[in-house]
Amino acid sequence: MFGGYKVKIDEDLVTKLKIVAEAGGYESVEEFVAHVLEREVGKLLPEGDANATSKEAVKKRLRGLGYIE
Amino acid sequence: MMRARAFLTGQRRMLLAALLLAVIFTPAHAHAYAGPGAGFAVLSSFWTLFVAFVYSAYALLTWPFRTMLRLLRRRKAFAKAQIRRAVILGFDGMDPGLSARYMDEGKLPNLARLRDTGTFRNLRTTNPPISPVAWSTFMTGVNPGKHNIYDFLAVDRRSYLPFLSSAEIKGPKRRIHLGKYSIPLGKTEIKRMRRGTPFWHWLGKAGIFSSIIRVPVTFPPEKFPGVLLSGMCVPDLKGSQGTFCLCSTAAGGAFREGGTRVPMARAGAKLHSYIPGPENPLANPSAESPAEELRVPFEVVVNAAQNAAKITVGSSRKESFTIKLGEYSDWIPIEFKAGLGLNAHGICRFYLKQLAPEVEVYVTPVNIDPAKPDLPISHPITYSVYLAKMFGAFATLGLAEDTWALNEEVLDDDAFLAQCYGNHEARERQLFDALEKTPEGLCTCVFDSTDRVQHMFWRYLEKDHPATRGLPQYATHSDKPLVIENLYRRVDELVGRVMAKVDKQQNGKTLVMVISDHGFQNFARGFNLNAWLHQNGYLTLLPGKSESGDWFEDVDWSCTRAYTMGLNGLFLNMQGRERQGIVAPGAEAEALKVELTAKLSGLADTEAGRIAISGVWDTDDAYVGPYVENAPDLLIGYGDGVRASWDSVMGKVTSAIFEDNTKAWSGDHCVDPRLVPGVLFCNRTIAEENLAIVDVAPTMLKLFGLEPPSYYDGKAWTVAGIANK
Amino acid sequence: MPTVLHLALASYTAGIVANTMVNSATSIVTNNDWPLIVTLAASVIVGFGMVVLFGYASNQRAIKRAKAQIQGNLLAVRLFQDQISAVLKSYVGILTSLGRYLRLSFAPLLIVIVPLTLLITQMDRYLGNTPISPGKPFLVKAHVSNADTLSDVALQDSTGLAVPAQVVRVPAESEVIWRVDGLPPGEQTLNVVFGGISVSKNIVVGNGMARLSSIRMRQPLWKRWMESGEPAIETGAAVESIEVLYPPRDIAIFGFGMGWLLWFFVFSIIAGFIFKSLLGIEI
Repeated sequence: MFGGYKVKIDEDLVTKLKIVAEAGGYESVEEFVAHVLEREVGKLLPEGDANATSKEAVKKRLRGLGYIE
Repeated sequence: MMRARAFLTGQRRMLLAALLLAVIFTPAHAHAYAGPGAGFAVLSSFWTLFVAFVYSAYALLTWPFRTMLRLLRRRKAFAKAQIRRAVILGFDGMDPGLSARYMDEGKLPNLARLRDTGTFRNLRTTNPPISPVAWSTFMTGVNPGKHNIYDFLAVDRRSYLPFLSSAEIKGPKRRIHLGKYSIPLGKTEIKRMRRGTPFWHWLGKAGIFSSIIRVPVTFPPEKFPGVLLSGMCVPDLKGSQGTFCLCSTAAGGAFREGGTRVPMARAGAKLHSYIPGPENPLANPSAESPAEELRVPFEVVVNAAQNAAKITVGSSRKESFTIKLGEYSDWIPIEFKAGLGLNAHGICRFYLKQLAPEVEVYVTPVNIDPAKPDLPISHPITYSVYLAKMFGAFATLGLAEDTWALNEEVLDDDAFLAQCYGNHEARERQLFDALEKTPEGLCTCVFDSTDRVQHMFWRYLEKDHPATRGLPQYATHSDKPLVIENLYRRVDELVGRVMAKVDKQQNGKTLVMVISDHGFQNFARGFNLNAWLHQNGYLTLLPGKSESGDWFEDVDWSCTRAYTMGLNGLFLNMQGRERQGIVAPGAEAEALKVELTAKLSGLADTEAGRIAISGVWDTDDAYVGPYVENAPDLLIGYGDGVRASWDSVMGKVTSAIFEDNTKAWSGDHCVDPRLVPGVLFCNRTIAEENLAIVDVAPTMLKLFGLEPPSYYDGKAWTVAGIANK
Repeated sequence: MPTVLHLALASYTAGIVANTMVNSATSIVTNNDWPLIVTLAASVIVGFGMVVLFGYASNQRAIKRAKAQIQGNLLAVRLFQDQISAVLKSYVGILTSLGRYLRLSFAPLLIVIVPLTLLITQMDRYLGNTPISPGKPFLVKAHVSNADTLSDVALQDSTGLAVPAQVVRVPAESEVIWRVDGLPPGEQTLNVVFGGISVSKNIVVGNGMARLSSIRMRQPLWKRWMESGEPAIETGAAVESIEVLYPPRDIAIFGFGMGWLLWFFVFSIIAGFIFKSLLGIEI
């Protein structure tokens, strides 16, 4: 999940995380933590290349996908 | 004389020792060369035996430990198991209605036997009923809100552009610039977008081995205790979902989609052309010139008397073969040379389309070479190599059957079918090998030909399909080609062979399931939801525009409240989510969803006399899970005979809302999920009446004696005793 | 796509190989080391020729398939290591594919081996031994049909004078051995005279490389082709063979000396690998 990077989390928090992750339909605490972090980072640090993806590049990648023209 | 002899004997001994050393220390490929002299014949064999010996020694030394470990784990794993092995045959798009009809007509004896002695039911599909969504649910046991796949496409909310929902391939982040080269630092990164854990991972953790072949959305392959060959969504070597090329001496326009036209130049008796490949990974992307495309040349020598052509591919290392008119070549290995000794390895097939007056050669998309995969397409990576070595090269592209070549009339019906069934037969060989190699555990194989053939030949099932209008008419409806009936017969025959094999191997201990992710229906009319949104004031074009280009080219986002992209999703242009969103989340968004649902539900196609939309769902209600925020806001369920129009899927606003679908792609399933349930056959009886694809994962875990995880959305079925015969 | 590490390793290795080759080439040219040059050239030519010949003489598709099956089964042993029955089947697969591969290689290998064996024996005349050093003693050995008359066997030079030498007679072997004190450089002829019949033997004295025939014999053509380089001894003569013991030749590369045949094997295998890859021939 973390690409080998480990973060120490307080045990009380882990217990709470387990409850919240299960309630939220996550498979595991790892998945929950990764998703929350990804979302927050996305808000604070929007990916710079979002506009750089050209329509041509998009078309090339999707070419051959039978369902679309 | 004696001394001389002794010397010679000594030299011979040294020679043998040197040969042995050479054999042992030469690299993997080197063993192939049988050098000059008497040791020729034994060189390769020595190497092979040596490797086999090392493997054997390793296996023998570790055998007691592994066996003990395995027995311990197996006893634990199989302690509560009701079965020793499960075989799941997936036939993408196999329709329960057609299955029932052909069984009733006595055309599918093997499936009928399963129905009569075991189970035959409709299998509720996902919403939307699209392969990547449904197969993701199949393997993870959860609804799309938890596995994050809602369509083939997902929307980048900042650019309003689509991206493939299943995997993202990114080149190395940093590069070193050296003269004309730009050397990538690090590896190509493949990000898996699907969340959730396939149920064979849970089986693996319990010590149960699995062989998984071509289940969609398994790219990039994940590590687990078993073997897996990735399916739908594996790209071709160009990074696209399949780009064919038509090499022709005739001039012609570009294809709208799916392929490129490559000129073929005459030079004396020879014709010269090339296969376009990936962009040069070493080319400097910052250079002003467009990215350099790698190419592999080939030449064609026509033999008019034999109605054939000799094709020679490659520049330095050439491969020659002869094909007749209307025939495919085998898979031909292609090497694109980037420079600095870096090559990209692909395979493709050539089809001799025409010899006169113009010469035309169709080349399939260049698939990733399974014997030398430049991207991982299997787990372990050697699994695809193993399959290629044992059974020859095979299609690795996710959507390997070239539907666009048939749509564009580059291939005719027969050529397309030959391609489909070529892939199908290769898959059969892989399946039977997996059955051999998986005497215990799980064996799953998904066949795509059922989906592709129905997409492309549904027109022959209908009395009057727009795609067959204007073509030479068949005297009666029953004269139409029996392509789909033959497809189902082929499926039945395969099921028969699998059952025979299973009965022979392990009578009674194997559970066999035949399943599909969705059914099929007619696609006669296209509905452009973007056009409807435009004409009803939800989507606004820039001043002076009455239509838009692809991907919302002329859309005025500052006045647009809703849009659609992909097959069934409708998106609100939401503040804080979309870059130029104007709909406030909360009450305003909820009200808009209610309004749109009311207006779209039951919408009629008056011209064709059809219900265009038979259901609209709010994803907040339809899905549960952490990733619902990535889902579209509404799901559109198209009615019988209708689907999102080709333009609508691509974010294009046209003036007409409805249009005839005149393409060979004439059947579809991206509609109201209630209209296209999948199918389930089983060699055991199942107690429950209402079965859903989401239930397969928990059922499998339960059958193997494992407790399904609490986050699963499906429920395990009650599977009764054996009914193999 | 390969990473920078691969590139770096590849260029490093290429650098070492290139450096070694340049050094060797320089040393060969400056030392005028003809035996090594001939061995290298022959290795490259033979490597190329054998690969091409094998390519033509063999069923390339079938060989490719058999090799792929061997490799596939080897992979299967690893992939399905916990499925005992699958592993056993793979071992059977390895052996049967190996058998098929050997069968497919056999006929083309025979075709390749025949010219090669002839070539090697002929090359061995030039490269296998060095000539007798001028003025240095050497041994000449004559084998006669009748051991009782060994004392009558004499060694003479081309003018009919006795050659100064120490003689050892070995009746058990019907052999007479002379330790000749030394001869001046050049191509010399010695005669073994017995019962009035003189049988000549060619001897090369000098340095460098020359076509050497260590033995003259009275044997069928094929045997002489393999072992001798001189005409057969007349049938009437009681002398059956005359042998000169030329010293074996070592060819040194970086101070490491071996017989030419070993170097030939090493270099022709390397050349074969390179040409096989370049020409796309399965072996």
